Amino acid sequence: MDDLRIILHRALPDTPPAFAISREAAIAAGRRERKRQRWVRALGAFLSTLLIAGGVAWGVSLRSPTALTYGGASPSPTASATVSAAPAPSPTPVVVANPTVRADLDLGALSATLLGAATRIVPGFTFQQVLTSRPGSPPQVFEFVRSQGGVKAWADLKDAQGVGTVFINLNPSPYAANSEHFPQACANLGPGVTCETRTGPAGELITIQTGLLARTSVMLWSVTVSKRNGTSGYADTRNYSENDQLGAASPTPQRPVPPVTTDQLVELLLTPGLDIT
Amino acid sequence: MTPDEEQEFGDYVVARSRRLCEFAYLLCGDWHAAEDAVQSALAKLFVAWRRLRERESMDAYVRRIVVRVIIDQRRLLRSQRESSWAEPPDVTPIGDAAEAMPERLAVLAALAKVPPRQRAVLVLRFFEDQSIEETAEALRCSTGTVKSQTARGLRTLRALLATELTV
Repeated sequence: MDDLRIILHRALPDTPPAFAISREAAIAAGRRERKRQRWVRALGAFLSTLLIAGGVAWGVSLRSPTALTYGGASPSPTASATVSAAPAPSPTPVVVANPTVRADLDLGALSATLLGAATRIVPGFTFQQVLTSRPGSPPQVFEFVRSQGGVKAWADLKDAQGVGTVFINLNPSPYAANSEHFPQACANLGPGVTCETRTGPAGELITIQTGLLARTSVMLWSVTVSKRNGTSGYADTRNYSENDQLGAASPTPQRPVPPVTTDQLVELLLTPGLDIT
Repeated sequence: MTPDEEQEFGDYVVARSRRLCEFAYLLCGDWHAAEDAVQSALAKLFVAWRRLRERESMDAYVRRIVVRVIIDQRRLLRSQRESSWAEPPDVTPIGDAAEAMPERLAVLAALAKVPPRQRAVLVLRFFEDQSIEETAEALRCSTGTVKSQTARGLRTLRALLATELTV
């Protein structure tokens, strides 16, 4: 085989052309390649997120053809929280499994953060446990419990004007996908439903809606906030108590307006530390 | 990549790129294509530097990419080429080819006619002195394939060299 070695070496040019590969050129090319790979990876992640979000949205639309759900997750299984007989306002960003709930999520600390924020933001109320929120083991006032891939918390707020319920739901949801749907957040509103979108101080996508529960005179105000870190928050408040009227065919108002304003709901959801991703 | 790692990478480029270009040149017979292939491989090596330096030979990694780039290029060119001549056109050698020895041109011509995978096996085994196992790893194939490709490649090259050197 030595003859082949010699032959192969003879095939090389005696005087190779000027050499174009230098240390600097190789490093510069390497940096470009690294940047290219990062873009490709980011694009791939974005496209797969879109694909998953699209699939989930399609699945959801198939499962609920009338799509009358107003806002985010229902505070309780029997409180369907439908608004009018209107077409879907669909303000809620699509909830998908990615991003995921933080593995070391401390529900106690999260609940304390929420309770502290609520006490500060909504002063002058007595907070009451919503006993009907989880029959058998109702959580304490604004105590988060795991549910449907996210966490939920409830409280009744009472003052001289009456009592009303506040419900908070945090879910993991991709900001990029929510951002894409955000311009259409107020499309297809039902009769009597008002809708407003805002952007928070850190780019949070905020949607605010007010309206009436279907076929009732009970008010339901809701806020959705999608954060860049993948936490999506939904909060609503109504001017009746779920402790008193959960499951009622036609609940009646127990105070003139819900106990919390939509601005206060926004402030609650933007509370630092109220994150699950 | 830290500045120290960039320095290491730069030292590797200075020390090894000419040899890698020679290796690539034997695979494709074109110095510029060889440099392009090595440049592409070095860019990928830059990205993988930290991961590789712990556990793998840099040369083996770069050679693997060079082989892949050149074989892919050949495939691409073949699919784009129309090639409708009955006889190849006369070629006027330019640059270093004009000064090259006829024997070198004959070896290059013979090598160019060896199928790409067989050529890669021959160059890896007899120019780079790689073992059967290392060649199999570089080409991502079994050692049995390397042995059979070596035998076929040698047979083809000897037959071609006999023709080229007597013409």
